Amino acid sequence: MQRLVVAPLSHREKSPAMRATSLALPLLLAAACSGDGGGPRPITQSREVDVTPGRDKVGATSADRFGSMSGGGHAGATAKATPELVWDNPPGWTELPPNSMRTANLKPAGHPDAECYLSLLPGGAGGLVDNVNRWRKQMSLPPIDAEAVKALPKQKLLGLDAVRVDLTGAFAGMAEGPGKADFQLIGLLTTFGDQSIFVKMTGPAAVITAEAANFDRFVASLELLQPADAAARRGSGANASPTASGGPEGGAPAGGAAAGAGTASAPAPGADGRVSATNQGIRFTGPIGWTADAPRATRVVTLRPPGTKQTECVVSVLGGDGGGLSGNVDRWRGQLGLGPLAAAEFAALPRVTLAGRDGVQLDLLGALDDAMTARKLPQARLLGAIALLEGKSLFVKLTGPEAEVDEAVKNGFLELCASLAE
Amino acid sequence: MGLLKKLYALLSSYGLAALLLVFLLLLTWLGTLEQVEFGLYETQKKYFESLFLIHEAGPFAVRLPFSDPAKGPLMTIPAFPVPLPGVYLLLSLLVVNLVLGGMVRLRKDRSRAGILITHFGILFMLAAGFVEFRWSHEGVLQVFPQERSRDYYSYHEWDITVRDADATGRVREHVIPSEEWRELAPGATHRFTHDALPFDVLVTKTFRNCRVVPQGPMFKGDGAVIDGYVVLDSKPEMEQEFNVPGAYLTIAEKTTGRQTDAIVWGRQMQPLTVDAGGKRWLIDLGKRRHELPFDIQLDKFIVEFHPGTSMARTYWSNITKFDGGQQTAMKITMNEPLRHQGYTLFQTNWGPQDGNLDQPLYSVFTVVENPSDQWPKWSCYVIAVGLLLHFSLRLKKYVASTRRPAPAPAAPKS
Repeated sequence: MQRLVVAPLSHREKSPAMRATSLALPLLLAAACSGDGGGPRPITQSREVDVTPGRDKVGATSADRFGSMSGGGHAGATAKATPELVWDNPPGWTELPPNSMRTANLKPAGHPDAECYLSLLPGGAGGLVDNVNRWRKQMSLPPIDAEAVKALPKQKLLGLDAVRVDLTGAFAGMAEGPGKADFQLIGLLTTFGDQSIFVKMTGPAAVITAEAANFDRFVASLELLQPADAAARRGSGANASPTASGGPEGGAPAGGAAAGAGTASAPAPGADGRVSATNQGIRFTGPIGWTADAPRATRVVTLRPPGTKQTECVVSVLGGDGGGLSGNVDRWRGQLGLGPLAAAEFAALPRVTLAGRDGVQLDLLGALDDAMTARKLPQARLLGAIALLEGKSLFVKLTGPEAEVDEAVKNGFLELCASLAE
Repeated sequence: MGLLKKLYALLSSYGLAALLLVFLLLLTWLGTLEQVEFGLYETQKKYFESLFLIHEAGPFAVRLPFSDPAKGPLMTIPAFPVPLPGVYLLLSLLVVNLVLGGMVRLRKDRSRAGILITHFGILFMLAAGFVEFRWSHEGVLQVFPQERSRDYYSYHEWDITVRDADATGRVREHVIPSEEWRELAPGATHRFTHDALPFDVLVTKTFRNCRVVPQGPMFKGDGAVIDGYVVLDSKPEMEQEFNVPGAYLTIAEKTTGRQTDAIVWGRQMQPLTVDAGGKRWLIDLGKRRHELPFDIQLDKFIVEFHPGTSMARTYWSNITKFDGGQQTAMKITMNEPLRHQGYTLFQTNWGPQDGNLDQPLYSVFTVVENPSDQWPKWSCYVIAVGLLLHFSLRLKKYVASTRRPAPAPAAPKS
């Protein structure tokens, strides 16, 4: 005769209702005890602490405080400089502006349908097997199991063993439906600390096959260096992207308020009330009264017009054509919810001289939603200027609430543009 | 019988004592099981430091032995909540029960002197537990050779601190302890103020364990994006000391009313800088710092390994204690802690443990400030004396009864 056995199941099998019930009491108690009731609470505790000069960085930026790897360090840890990712652009490849998902963003062989980028994602980002299968799905290929993933070849990436995939198929990307036939994807995946690292090159199979050696060259050139070493390598021709930044316009303060806005090493106005300096090979002189934020690795300078709270003006430089004039005009228009320009409209844009070169000028209105810097303004005005210099691109971008960006600010913007020189 | 008498009879009864002991046994069992899944810290809070709790029982699978597991259970009983008293409440009642039943109500005569002393010893032990629970601190002190320190950091508690950014030397910092902001209900705000500060600190959202990352389009953060960064809430770790809290703050200037949003995080590498009132201020979130009333200097750390392995056989620290004008050379080993001025320093770890012994090794001490540190030992002595006395008296009584002449057998009936 068989007996009944009552066995406990694992806690993971517990119902959400049970969880809700068990959480209800503490939440109710917390709700009852919290809120603003009773007004401000006095800070009653204090203590003395020994502070040596230079122990903490006053005016640290968010990148200084959090980095981008979001690992390492602990409370009270000695400050460490954020390492920078550096690499060499393979011959014939052009560099696009990085964004928050693409720390390195390249266009192999300048082909319009080819792209190659490096991404850093927090955590496991879904795991190795799922990511390999995500890429296979993008190439319209069936998934493979963990054993098959384990058997994939390995390649060194930043000194780590990364899994290499080389797929040919119909590339659908993240879109649904039939993909572009006869495409190829070469990718590397690995983890570093609590980050996942991806390098992915896609494009027509003929282009990607031809560029495979350049892909390997690009991967082999990748290094994480301390800023001083990165600067030295950059001086020898390498490209660099601080891992903490989101790109040439990355990491801008959300407002004019002081939190996180560095002041310790910000360029100070001269006796004439103008901020003037040379950075990244670009000399600038700000209009009278305009103040500068602390330098950021991907910006020549960030300036703020007097009397404004949320307006900022960023001058930045990128290697190569930076994605091209029309591409960047359309990108900025997109940030304001505006569509791309037709060729005739682009040709009709007003011109401006930047560092002695002819460039385009923009004056746009709309709701700003810049995913790169997470900057959002409901009624914004964008003043922009872009010019292609010798081997690099120069960007000047002023954004702020429409009410703040008046003619005086625009005159200052044009004055700043006129001051730029190599 | 009056209500008070009934209450007195109930609180001093054997029945209540037995019931409390059964519940204590049950909670010890449930807490031990729960610890496997939720870790020591959470389980202690829920089962042993609470007045009441809700235990999640089940779910249970009802099966037939030797049945095919692939066919699944006969039926599944879903999880259900079981309200229980917490150990804190049970021990409080046990104290009342012991005082009333084991001391007040107990007949006071020579034969029960041992029981009375034993009950006093148990109460003394319970008092030691209460004092430790309420007033003890525990933390970690890490020191390198020839380094002198008196600071130790809490394992579990975090503080938001505010101080003048430009002051150096001995600086006073204002402290907002985690007890005042960590249990923030969704949508609620706690506003903290101090006369010496030109701004108020509003805590608008808190995270028990989180990461701060640059905002990207492929994931959604768990709060507002500030300066391109956002907080990602993380599942709490089983071991509380691995949790890294974070909070969204709003800095509200008192004179201008200007408000600035910011993020503070337990692993931030630099404090937040705030310009307000014509000065610069630093706001940090860090583990709670305590200070010893004396200094410790590590003279040498020594570790010995089992032959041919990297497993430590023993390790100890030669230290110098600086207290006032006095210097005392001492040795702290795993089983020989330093006890001084109510503090106990245990040798608990060392580092770096990456096998490179060419680097200077630092020593790690667990520091415990516990006013009742030695009370459990003394209470054990009291209990031992009480039991010894009680059993001695019982033995004496038994021996006396065996020496008493046996009653004469009754004369046979004729």
